[in-house]
Amino acid sequence: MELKFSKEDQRFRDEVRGWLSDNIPRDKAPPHGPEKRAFDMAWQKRQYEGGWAGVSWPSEYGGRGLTITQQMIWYEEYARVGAPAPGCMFIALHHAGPTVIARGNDEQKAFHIPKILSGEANWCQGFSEPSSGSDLASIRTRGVVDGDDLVVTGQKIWTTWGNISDYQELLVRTDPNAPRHKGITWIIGDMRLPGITIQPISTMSGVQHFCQVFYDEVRIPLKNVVGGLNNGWSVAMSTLGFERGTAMVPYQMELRRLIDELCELARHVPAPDGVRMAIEDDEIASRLGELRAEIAAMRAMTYASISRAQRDPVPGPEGSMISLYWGELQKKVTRTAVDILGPAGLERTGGYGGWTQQYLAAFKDTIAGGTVEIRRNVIGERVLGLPRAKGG
Amino acid sequence: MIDLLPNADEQAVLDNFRSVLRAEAPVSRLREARPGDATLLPRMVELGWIGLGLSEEHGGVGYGIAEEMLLFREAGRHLVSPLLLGAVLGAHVAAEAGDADLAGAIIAGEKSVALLIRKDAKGAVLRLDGAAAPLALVWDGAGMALYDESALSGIEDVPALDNYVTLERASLAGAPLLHVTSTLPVRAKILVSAMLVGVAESARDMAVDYAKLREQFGQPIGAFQAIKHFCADMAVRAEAAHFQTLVAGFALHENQPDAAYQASAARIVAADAALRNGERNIQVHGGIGYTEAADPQLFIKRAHLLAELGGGTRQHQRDILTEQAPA
Ligand SMILES: Cc1cc2nc3c(=O)[nH]c(=O)nc-3n(C[C@H](O)[C@H](O)[C@H](O)COP(=O)(O)OP(=O)(O)OC[C@H]3O[C@@H](n4cnc5c(N)ncnc54)[C@H](O)[C@@H]3O)c2cc1C
Repeated sequence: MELKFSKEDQRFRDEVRGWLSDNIPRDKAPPHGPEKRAFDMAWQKRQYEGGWAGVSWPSEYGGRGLTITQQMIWYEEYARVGAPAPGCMFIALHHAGPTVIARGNDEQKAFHIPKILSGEANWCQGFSEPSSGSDLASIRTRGVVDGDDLVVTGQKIWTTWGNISDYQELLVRTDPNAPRHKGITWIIGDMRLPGITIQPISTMSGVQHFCQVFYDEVRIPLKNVVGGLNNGWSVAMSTLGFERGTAMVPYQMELRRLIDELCELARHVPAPDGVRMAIEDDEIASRLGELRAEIAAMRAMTYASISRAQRDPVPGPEGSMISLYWGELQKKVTRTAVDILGPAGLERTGGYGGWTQQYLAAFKDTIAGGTVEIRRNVIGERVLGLPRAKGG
Repeated sequence: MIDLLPNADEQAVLDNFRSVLRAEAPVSRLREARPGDATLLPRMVELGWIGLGLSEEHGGVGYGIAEEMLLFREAGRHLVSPLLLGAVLGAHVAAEAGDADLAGAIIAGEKSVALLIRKDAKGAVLRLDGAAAPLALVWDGAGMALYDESALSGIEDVPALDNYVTLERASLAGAPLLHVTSTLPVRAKILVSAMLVGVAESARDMAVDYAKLREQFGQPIGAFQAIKHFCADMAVRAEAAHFQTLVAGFALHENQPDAAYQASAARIVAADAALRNGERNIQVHGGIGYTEAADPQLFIKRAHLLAELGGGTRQHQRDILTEQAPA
């Protein structure tokens, strides 16, 4: 057991810090729409030109191929300087791209991977449907083979940034008679194909984060199928090893910054008694202390995950422990902010409005990417070996 | 290098702790044995566990905080008497203060060291398993003090929430034999955290085992989501607390400026894990969990006791607000 950084690591950190502080965009990312896309893509392009695109991706695919410790340093520094989140590049960089590298054919890789790295194309995820959320294997959007095409008809929903994406990783049912995990296909869809209708959905935080997408006999070339027809479930569940351990580092760092800012806030706004500062109130101090401890522990869990990754590159189900911890903590932090603000927390703009906005946005963090209930099921069954319910 | 998993040598040390404690310290002993683990402690002395983290020149084994953390985690799992922590910390105090003879006597088991918990600022204390201990140890964030037993007066037995230790009220006055203001309080926080982690892990394991075994409505209760989710939460709390404790230990080992912050964080999440896992474990067991004869009650009681050592959680929550976070 050991926890220390070598001189080489330190040099690497200095290099990263230097590059980032010279290159991060000075403006804030727009919340949504084409302006957001332009901003996120430009930032990706700048990282590409600087040689920092795809830090975890193998170098044979144009990635930076960093070691796991270096990836962690990159993400730590990234968050420290306040570099913008990947935004609408997220699925391309952290899900679709890695899946194409792991399961795509040479032609698919040669076409898509450089476009992602250079910020020319972004992706969204078309998995969930109105009747299929947690129970993803029940999807019904149909894909029928017709000549060289797959003809897709149906509906997807909650497609994040679907209205500003170029491609999507799309799951469709291609064999309705096969057992439910055996009749699904993973295909690369161009979002501009005829027959696709995209409708943004407003969220409780006011940001237009996701869309519903309708497919009316959309013809997608069969050569876009990744991993073979009817083999899409295994492609969707691919264990993507190259970010093992570091996937949650950006979230952890962001949250730590938020907690630091919250402690600062508590030093500058009044306590409920209107006399002292909020941080001098016993209950508030105690909650803030707990948050500071919990974000430290989330970092420790990340280090544990990195330790495991160095011994075994195949991700284990303990990733669900970190994402569960993070989702709950994110909500707790923003709720504490609103509690500290009291009546000022009712205002969504002006002085402290940013906190209220973050509070509203945090409700998604226990739902998106698999709800916390599903995360607990995974921990219970796959980490602890508890039985599944009868008929469940 | 980031590596929070034991290497082969550390694993061997850990396996040794485990095999000894499994054989000689089943928690069932608490219902029969003489208080204060009077049989177990001499064995630990003999195995060299008291001076585990002290250098050989101080009469120790020459390991570091890593092995101490592993030991106290196992001690927590087995609900070993607080006298073990008293001896280990007492030996550190004596060694740091340059009193080699006293350090040697503690390591050799000739002098036992009871832990004290302060009840107020005027000298009211509680002594744990200390009726036969010639020395007593108390600490807070500022320093650690080793007293001769004679500094205690008005000693009286009091029934304890954790009735598997002996608890005495007393009043502490006068000057300590030795007093250090080094990083020992940070070390103490980390080792208490390690014990709390052990308690949290034992509670988790008992709950999970029982959830697989006990059947109702024709299936193991662990198949019910309410129970499964309690267990998942217990696992996450134990995982967070264990790795945070290790991170704190290595921050101290490397003299990092964030060591105190990491130790407070460990202490806060570990106490939370031990208390909440302890409570959930009883709930998962149902009626049997409420009985004297079953083990779940042992762990929640010990969690409360350990969570008061060196100051309660509120104190640590305050401390961490001003302690330096990692850069
Ligand atoms: C902000 C946001 C962005 C998203 N982005 C995308 C995207 O880009 N692409 C995409 O495909 N999807 C996306 N999703 C969808 C997301 O994956 C689903 O919302 C999620 O998996 C839950 O599905 P559901 O909404 O249908 O809820 P349901 O599955 O209907 O769940 C409703 C409730 O029932 C609980 N529940 C369901 N099954 C179980 C069970 N077995 N045990 C215990 N409790 C259960 C859930 O935990 C939840 O509390 C996004 C969602 C959000 C909120």
